[in-house]
Amino acid sequence: MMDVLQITLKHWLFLTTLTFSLGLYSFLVKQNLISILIALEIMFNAVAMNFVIFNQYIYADLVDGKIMAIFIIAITAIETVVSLAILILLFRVKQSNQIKYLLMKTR
Amino acid sequence: MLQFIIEYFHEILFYSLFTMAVFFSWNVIMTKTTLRATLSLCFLILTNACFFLLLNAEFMAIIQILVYISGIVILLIFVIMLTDVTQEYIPGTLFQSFLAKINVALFFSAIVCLVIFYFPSHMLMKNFITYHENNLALIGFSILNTNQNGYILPFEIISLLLLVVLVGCLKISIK
Repeated sequence: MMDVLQITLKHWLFLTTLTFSLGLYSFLVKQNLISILIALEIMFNAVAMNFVIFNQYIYADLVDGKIMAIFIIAITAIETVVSLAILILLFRVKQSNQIKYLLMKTR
Repeated sequence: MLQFIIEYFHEILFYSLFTMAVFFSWNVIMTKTTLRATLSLCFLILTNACFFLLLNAEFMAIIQILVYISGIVILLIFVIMLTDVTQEYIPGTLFQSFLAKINVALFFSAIVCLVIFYFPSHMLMKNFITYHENNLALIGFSILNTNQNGYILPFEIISLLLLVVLVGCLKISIK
């Protein structure tokens, strides 16, 4: 009756592309370092989901895509921790977390 | 009506979660305070975990919730509480935002066109996911496999990297 509603690979790819694009827009527009990190999280999430989608739809009896997604999540955690530590250090020097002030030279 | 819901349960779940994911991503962009953006990120991650469950990848859903919500979001909230002095909200210039919009729209349409026109159509029209009961065991065997298509080396490298990051973060932030 409704073959249009059937969820195919196309729908999943559309979803991840949309989420990635929204993350990219947030990444380009935001002026706050923490918001930029959140945008990065969204983008990484979309990429990891893409790996799992391709694994489940095309090579359903292998698990390589899922393992790649696990590695992506681990790398994301590492990246977030390092950048937050750097942010705290920068905040001590500049007293701000807006990139406009972070790029200025200290007096 | 009930018949319809039972028959298309998977589809209804997918589209409602789709709407939620887009709403929360949009919310992350539009909110002015970072704490609210983090809360939206939290809900976005929850919807993504539901998507993983729809894809029959339970392990990924669990990892998603464990690592993101109990690790990264908590860390982000801590850093927001440590550093977010109440400053005036500085939006980018109008021209900057316009450029970003144009670029992202071009990127999105390029990817969609690429997928629609250049992807083999028999793959795009696939609509079934085979379910394997021993998915979790397969992931474990594959990660700790020393054969040609095993992942023991990247796994060990990641563990070393985690140790290095732990020490490095302490070195950076303790002063």
